[in-house]
Amino acid sequence: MSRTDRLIPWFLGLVFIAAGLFKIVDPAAFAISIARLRMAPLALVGPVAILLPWIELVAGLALLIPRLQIAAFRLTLALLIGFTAILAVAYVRGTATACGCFGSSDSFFNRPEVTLVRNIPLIALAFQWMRWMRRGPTSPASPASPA
Amino acid sequence: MKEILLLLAVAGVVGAAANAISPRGLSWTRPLGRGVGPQVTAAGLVPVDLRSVKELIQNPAVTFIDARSPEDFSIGRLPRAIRWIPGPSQPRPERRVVVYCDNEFCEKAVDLGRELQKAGYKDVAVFVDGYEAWWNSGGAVEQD
Repeated sequence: MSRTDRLIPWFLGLVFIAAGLFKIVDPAAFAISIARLRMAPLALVGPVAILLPWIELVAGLALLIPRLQIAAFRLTLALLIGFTAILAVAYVRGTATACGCFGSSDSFFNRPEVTLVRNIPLIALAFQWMRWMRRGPTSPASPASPA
Repeated sequence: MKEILLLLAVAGVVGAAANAISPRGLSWTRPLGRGVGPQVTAAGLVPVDLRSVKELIQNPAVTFIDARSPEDFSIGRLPRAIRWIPGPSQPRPERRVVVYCDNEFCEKAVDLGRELQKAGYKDVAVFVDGYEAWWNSGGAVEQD
């Protein structure tokens, strides 16, 4: 595993920590973002708005702890795939205005099409890292291992 | 799997505790707050909830007016709902009208309700829970 590959957990971890913190500081705005998507009954908006940011934060922090990295990557991957699927369906249905991923604003980074495109490389990175880990970080068969 | 459950448990406990002590904490059941209900009442409009709307929708004497964007109106609206465009084609002021927008947090319906009052409508109600509650309850919708 190259030095660049070793940065993947840090990169994804910081992305998830930032995403979680943005939502934690303004939970009401995140609740509105969820409600706007119209992908879940209103009864679920509260629990999701309260717990999801903390799940993102904990997953992001766990990515930085070697002992918890594999579990954290699996959780991160599941979250990314889930977010992408939900946002894609909302986008097709025309209910995706802003994802609320990084705060409440309708900024460029919260636009649904930008989020969908952004999530693909994040998912690919998580998959790639898990593949490296399955092979063993020091395996000579690793494609990124120095010769 | 055990470690994933551990991470979720930690997030759940910390999240619930932080929400309980935070001044910005949300209600688990009504995270969008009390919504526009108080504004509706203060404006002299009549707030109606989902259950009332399910009955009113059966009454052809009641006109439903959608206060959302034309795009949202096209995607889905309450049966028989119309958009408000001032002019001779609008319902007569003596008719009972029910205005709605997205959800209990949306203020467009309150604004439109005030506008209708100024235009001479006497019986203006606001469906506070909004289109999302209607849709989530499985209510029929019309589309373009």
